[in-house]
Amino acid sequence: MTEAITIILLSTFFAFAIAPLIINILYRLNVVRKIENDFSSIVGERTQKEGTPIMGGLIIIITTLVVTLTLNWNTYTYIPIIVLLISATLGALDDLLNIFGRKRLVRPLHKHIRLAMIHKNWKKRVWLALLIPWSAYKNIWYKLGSYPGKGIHAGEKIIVQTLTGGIVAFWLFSYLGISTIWIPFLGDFEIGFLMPFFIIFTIISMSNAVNISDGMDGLSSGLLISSYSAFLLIAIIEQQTEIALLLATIIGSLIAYLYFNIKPARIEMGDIGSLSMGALLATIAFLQDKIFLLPIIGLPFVIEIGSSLLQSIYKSIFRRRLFKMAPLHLHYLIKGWSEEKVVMRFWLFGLITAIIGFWIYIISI
Amino acid sequence: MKKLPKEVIKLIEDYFNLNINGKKVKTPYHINVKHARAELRSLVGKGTPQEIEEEVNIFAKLRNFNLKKTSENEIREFMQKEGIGVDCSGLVAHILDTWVKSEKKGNLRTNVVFPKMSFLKRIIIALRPIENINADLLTNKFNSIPVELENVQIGDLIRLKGIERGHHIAIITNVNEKEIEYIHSTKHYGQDNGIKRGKIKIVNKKKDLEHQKWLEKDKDGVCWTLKQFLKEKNDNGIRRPKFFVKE
Repeated sequence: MTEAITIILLSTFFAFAIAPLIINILYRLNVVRKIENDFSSIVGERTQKEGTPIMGGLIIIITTLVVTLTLNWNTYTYIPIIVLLISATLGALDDLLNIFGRKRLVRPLHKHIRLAMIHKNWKKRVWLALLIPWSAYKNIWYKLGSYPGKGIHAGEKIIVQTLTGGIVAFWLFSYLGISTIWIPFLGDFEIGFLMPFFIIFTIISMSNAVNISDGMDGLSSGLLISSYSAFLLIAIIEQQTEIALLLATIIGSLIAYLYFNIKPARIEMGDIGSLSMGALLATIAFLQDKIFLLPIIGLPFVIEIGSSLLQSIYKSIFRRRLFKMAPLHLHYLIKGWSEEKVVMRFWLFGLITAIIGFWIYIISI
Repeated sequence: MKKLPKEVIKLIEDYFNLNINGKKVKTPYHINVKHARAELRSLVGKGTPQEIEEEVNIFAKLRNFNLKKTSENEIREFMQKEGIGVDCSGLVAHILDTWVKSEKKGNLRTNVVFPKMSFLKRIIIALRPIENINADLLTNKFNSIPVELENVQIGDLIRLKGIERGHHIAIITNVNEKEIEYIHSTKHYGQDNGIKRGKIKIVNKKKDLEHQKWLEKDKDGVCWTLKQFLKEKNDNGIRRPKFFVKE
């Protein structure tokens, strides 16, 4: 416990120290929010966010890396750090392409096939023919409602996230031979070969859930602090020191980040932070064998991604709205709640669900 | 004499008086000419008054458009700019759907005969009936019968325009010895586009609509509805939905 608190403080101070520097560098490099690339900015009031540096997740990533590599580098932490790095790289690419990239359109499949047949250059024809399956894959995502923009497309993101989940799945299932999940009150439950699929699915879902929740100043970081804190308490009780210290590092860096992210934000997390924090949360839940508690402790994230999914399905089928807007935090914003009100109520909700998750853990051990 | 059910009267009133931030706004015309991908039905001219009201409120938030400080006309302009409104078949389909439901005879989809179609298309129609019922379908020979002017009654439809540029439709809401009153959603009549009441003064009951006096006019005195009637005159006219004939 003392070690964890020390690491939280250390990590907070470190993050506070590097944050102004990172904010300054991002400003200089013009890594700032541009309204036309931002989905959440479709809400008129959010145009005020234009010009705020994004990729603030760097504060969390750098702090976690430095503190973990110097004080907590061992067999329990290298897989989470690899997950963190892969997801952060994916997020960083997305953030940078969204700012500096060009719009990437999806060519309809029939046009792609036609081009592969008639292109005047035979090398290009072969190349296009080889790319038909890839074009078909991208078209499926397009049909499912993913709007292509400047950044990484949904289909591409899913591939990298599957790879990230695959690494965790390989390590847990093939290397350590873990194929059970712990269910409160019932104990361990064998799921066999489904385990890798379950791991990949959970990591993809959580990564995107946190990404979707990162749509208002302070929202995702506040929720992440509650969720990570619940898992920290569990790690302390289970005497998983290495994991506890990793969690403490993340919480510390999130506290400092939140200071700068509170409305009006001086910096925003960006995909670099949200995708990696979500993937890491799921990875740590698997490492602690407390994956069943993840949808309870992280219920706000589940609700956020669930509302987006439901809205999308409902709109596709009935051409009507289920919520005024999705994800859910935008529904309340449209309803007339102020941004602060939405964020603080979500924080409270996140705190309650984290307490409930921890309570379920306590009474079931 | 047939009467409009009170549910239909309310629906029509709601289209004429959308409640936008306490202001009463007449629904403008909008048709989905671009066939926008995966659009909401209220954005392709097929929404109910409530859906249209909700969409205006959402778009006002999205675009920082202050509904409190703007006049009814400015709200209508904003709606047209954002593609929020109702088209002719959307309006009539909702009216007929409400009518059929008020008489507990299922819904419009179950009372309309659709052309032969694939299983998938049938599912789509079951899920989105209003979007798949157009002016031609409601007034074709499978779903309606031609009616002479002397036998016209409330609930009859007026088939207008033609195959060349798509059909237009109006629904008759009042009939007396001297006049016929109809409602439609039209793109014409300038700023007065959208849901509109029109009247036809009966000059000679024995003759068809062309020979009656159409009172709906724009500021230049042009009756666009009569022009639409004359486009493919032989195929246009008054039609009675077959589900009303069964009575």
